[in-house]
Amino acid sequence: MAAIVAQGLTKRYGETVGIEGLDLEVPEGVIFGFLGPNGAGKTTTIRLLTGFIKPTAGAATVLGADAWSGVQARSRLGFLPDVGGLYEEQTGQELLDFLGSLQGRACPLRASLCERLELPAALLRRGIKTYSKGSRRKLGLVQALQHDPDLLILDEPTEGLDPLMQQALFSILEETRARGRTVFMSSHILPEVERLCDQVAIVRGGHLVAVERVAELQRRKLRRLELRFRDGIPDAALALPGTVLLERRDAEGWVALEVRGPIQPLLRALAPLTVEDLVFEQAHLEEIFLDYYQQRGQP
Amino acid sequence: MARLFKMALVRQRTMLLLFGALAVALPMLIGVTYRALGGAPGLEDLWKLLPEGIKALTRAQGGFLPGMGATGYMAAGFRHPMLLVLLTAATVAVAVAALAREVERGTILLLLARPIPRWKVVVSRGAALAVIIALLLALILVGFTLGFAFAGALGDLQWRRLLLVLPNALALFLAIGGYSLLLSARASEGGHVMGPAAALTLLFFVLDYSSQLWEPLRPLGYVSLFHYYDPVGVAQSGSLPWRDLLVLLTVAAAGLGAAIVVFQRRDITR
Repeated sequence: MAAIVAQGLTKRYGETVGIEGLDLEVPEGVIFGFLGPNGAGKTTTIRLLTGFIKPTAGAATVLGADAWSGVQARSRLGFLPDVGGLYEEQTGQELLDFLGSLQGRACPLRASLCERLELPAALLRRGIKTYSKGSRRKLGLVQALQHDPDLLILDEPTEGLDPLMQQALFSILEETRARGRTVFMSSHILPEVERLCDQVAIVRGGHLVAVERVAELQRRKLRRLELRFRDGIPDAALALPGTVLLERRDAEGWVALEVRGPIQPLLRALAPLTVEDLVFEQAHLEEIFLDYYQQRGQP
Repeated sequence: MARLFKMALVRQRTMLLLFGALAVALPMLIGVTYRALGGAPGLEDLWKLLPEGIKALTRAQGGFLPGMGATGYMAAGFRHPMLLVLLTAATVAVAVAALAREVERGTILLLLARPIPRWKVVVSRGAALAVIIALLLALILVGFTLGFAFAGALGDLQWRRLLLVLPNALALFLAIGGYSLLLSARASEGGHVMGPAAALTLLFFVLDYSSQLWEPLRPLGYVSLFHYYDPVGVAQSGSLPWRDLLVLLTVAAAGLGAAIVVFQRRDITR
């Protein structure tokens, strides 16, 4: 059974499209990335899946129950909202106890999560209003994960976490997948997605434009290569295999190239050239989207 | 449900402390002035001198029955504008915090992502609101008692009659809480509830007040919730105002019911 199934899922706010005709199936036991730039419809989709908003058309099932009306299935759900939203007047411990008690399940993972995300007991005894942004995020993650849910829905989970905590979270999510649980996470940070996700869906302007395995996304990925030559730009540099010229500065012997496809032929072609400096830059997700759409737009 | 109810109460503890302190202090001041006004005889004399506009605030234009001095004074105190403002502010503030503020701050997402039907959230918040209003009324009674004790007039009070005022006051503020909760159920920001709820309550009060002073407006008085809140009349009659209670509790129940329906159907967006 799929953890999430959306069929023609649509949400409009008057004339504005939140998400339109989303067809999606998220298998169990995977980490599924839901990608898109800000305003693409990621949060709208998540709110549809968690039953916070009612679809204008279509439907979604989450853990086999209707997302809008299937309240009981939420005992097997863990959810992290995109921003804030903690009870400031409580202590961290009180919040975890309170939300855990509402879940209707035991919270076997709480202690280990608090330890790994560095939420010591002394901090948990303090009022949430004194917490830093990072600590709030960590507390949000613990409340979402503490009951070992069958499905985790995380909206921008690494937002506000320092690199060390991001790594800790990645390990936790990988272990979650290893236990057969499903993770559905939105993100606009490509390295995070590449590191974690088995499969991704890409949305833009409220429409699903692709559902890909991550390996396929990486194959499509554009990279920017900047080269500086000691003796001016050689003609061969302008005809390197699998590249397109973006920019050149002859006085500096510098070119910027967009790299498509495999890297081995490119390296072989570069070897005899007098390269003084080389910068191989990972493209931003938006650039990948743009390239992807342009390719799609071609006949 | 019990956990949600407890949580709703605990969350209001700071606000409760503030309103609770005022709920004791304001009636205490009113009670203390009883002797300063000359007790029952002084009050009768003063009452004759008061303009109709002031008397209409208490809905006791007919005056107090003989021997009702301290009891009538305390009963009239339950309609003192300061106490009405205090209880209205507390009611609206708690109703706002119950739903709209939670949507505004995003905390409601933590609840609704769990296996909790939305109606339970609304009912638990409504129950907490009712308990808070009852608690504040109890504190007001404590404040009056202290004030009259300081004034040395505790023995003049007829408690059986005065206690009958409390259900009437509770019903009035439950009704105000009902429509405040309804406004809160459909709003995504607390600020969008405070103004309309307070304005509607003020409108009801002005309508009731005006209808007592100006004959052509008298029929409109029935539209006002304050028309059904007559502490002096209740204390003088010595019986529960069943018709008034029925009207007010119907409004309260309708407000809660509508709040459940609205909250059940609405999108949670910020």
